[in-house]
Amino acid sequence: MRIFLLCLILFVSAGCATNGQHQPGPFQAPVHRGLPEDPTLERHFQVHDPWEGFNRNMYHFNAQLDRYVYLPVVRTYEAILPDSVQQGVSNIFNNLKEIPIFVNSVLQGKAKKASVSLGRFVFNTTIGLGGIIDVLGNGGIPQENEDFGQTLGFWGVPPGPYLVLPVFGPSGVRDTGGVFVDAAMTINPSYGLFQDMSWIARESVSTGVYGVKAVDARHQVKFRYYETGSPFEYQLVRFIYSKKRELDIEK
Amino acid sequence: MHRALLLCLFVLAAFAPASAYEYPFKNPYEATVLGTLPRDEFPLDSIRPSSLRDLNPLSDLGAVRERELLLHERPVPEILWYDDTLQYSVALQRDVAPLLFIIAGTGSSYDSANCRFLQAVFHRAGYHVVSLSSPTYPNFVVSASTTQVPGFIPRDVADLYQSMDAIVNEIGRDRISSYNLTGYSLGGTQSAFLAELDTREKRFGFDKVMLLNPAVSLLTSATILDHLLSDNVADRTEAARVVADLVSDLSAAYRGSDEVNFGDEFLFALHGSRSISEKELKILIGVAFRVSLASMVFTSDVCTGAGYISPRGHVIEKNESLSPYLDAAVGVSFEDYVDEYLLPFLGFKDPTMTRERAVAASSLESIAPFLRESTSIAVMTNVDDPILTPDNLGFLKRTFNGRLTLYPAGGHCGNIRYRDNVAAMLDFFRK
Repeated sequence: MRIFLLCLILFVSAGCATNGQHQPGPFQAPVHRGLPEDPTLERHFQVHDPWEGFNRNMYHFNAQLDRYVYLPVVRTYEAILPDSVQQGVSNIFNNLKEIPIFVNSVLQGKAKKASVSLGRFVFNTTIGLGGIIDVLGNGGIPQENEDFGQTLGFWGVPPGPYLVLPVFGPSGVRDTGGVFVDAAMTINPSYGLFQDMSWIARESVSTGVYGVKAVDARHQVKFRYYETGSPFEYQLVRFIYSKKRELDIEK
Repeated sequence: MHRALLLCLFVLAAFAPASAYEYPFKNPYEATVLGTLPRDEFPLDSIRPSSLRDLNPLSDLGAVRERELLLHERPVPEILWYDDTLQYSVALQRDVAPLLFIIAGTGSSYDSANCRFLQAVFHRAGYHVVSLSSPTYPNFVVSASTTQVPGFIPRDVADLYQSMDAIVNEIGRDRISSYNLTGYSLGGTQSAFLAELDTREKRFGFDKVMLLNPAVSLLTSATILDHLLSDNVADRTEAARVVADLVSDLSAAYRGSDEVNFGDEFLFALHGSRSISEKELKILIGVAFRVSLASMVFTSDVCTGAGYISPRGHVIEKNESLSPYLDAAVGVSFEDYVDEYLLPFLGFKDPTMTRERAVAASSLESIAPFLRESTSIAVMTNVDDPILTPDNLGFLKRTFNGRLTLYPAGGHCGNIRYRDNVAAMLDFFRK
């Protein structure tokens, strides 16, 4: 949380540097392509998005946070640590995700996924030295993909309107609830390890772990804002996100 | 006896046909959409083992780096804030080396799959490699174009030339032993013009230039792409429906497999799950072209404030929905863009400019004498490239003669990553 506040302060100061107001040039097009008013037009790629104004602001905010704060930190992290260490860090946090994946598989009655998840957690935690090595993943048993949003979807909870969350990005009302439930199920590894330390030491260690976790999370996501190059990226991302969630639930 | 057998073998070898071209997709539209299957790609490891790059992560100068360059100190519209600098990528050698520029195709960025692949190949082959976005790509329109109105090739090429010069200054001229150039699709056409411009401006002095699947005339090729869509659908509703159907088929492939993700492998998966009809392929190519055109048209209009798509004088706020603008922009064909926006703009800047002059100046035919004489420029394209008319092919044959390599299949840029093609490219640049 403290890191997030620090980021926010840095970000606000970075956002202050602007380079004047853009003005239209002297050329005027002889034709104005009026916006089409045909209400019968089928819109196959339309997504339910009643809060588009808020969402677009948030998308904009996330993109700026990414560009001025988050990505520079992630790039430094990637430049300093060898690939193998970065992989180990990712493996530790991914291993802890097995807990919500297991619980959600059980809640959906998916026995095979639940057993894969449990097996991965047990083997990777023991033989894989606390999850540093993804023993089973390297052996061809990759992590399953289940979260509480999918569990709700599985039991018939509708996705609700599209919602862009600060930092987390594209989501929906249902999936937002899921994010918090899953987060509650993922323990911070420092709690168990540093119980004997003083309160201050324990708090700072756990804050550090959250910091590394945040950096690793961004490191693992390949998506980069505005990489599509299209000014219509918001629509594109909204459509792909919604479609992908729909399919994930069916799987 | 042995000697006789050996002689027989030699004789047989002499008569054996040169190994046949085995690129798998014989249908040009299929080739254009599906490109080259990973198993048929030129094997990168055959040039240099990849592990060399990972030896020292702290000083890995050889890795591909994404860079930004501020070329114009001018205010950028708020909704395009992220495009204020020119983005490009560079992969450098540790020592002095030849440099290769790669220019992306219509609507594509420096980070397109073809650019990335060629960059990896030539970097391993010992070149510094710089990849640049197409002047029709929104980032280039906002950050590098002087007029911010793309489509008139002499102007776009002058902007590319300025950007290349600025990038070379960033790298340092003393690190570069020679300059080389390639580009695919519209980037191929622009490469020819760049070579011609360089003989006048003399900032680089290109050693070798290779045009990959170039358009001969920008207007002709763009019109062909437009018609792939308009000739195959009754209206926009039908186009949207066909594309939505294809997407849901892709979804079926996603559901059916645990490995498939929303990535490059997606189309291959679809191809395995059912065959796409030629009509659908044409619509898909047409839609992809139209959507990238819409991005370019809207970006340019927002920059100039000309009032073509968004109302003149209206400032688009960052929380405003762009859906209505997307709807308006995808309705614009390339010919509409030329007649309703580009030509009026050129006429505004230069009242003597006519349609004929503008179209002719954006065709390779306008620099034909230069191309005939330049022995260092070669062309690689396909007999079945859908963006070329029989006349265009005739022009390429007459102009480039023995410097034209014509493959029997590959569609438009489908075989750029195919092993035989890349081997031939390497051969050309290394000779």
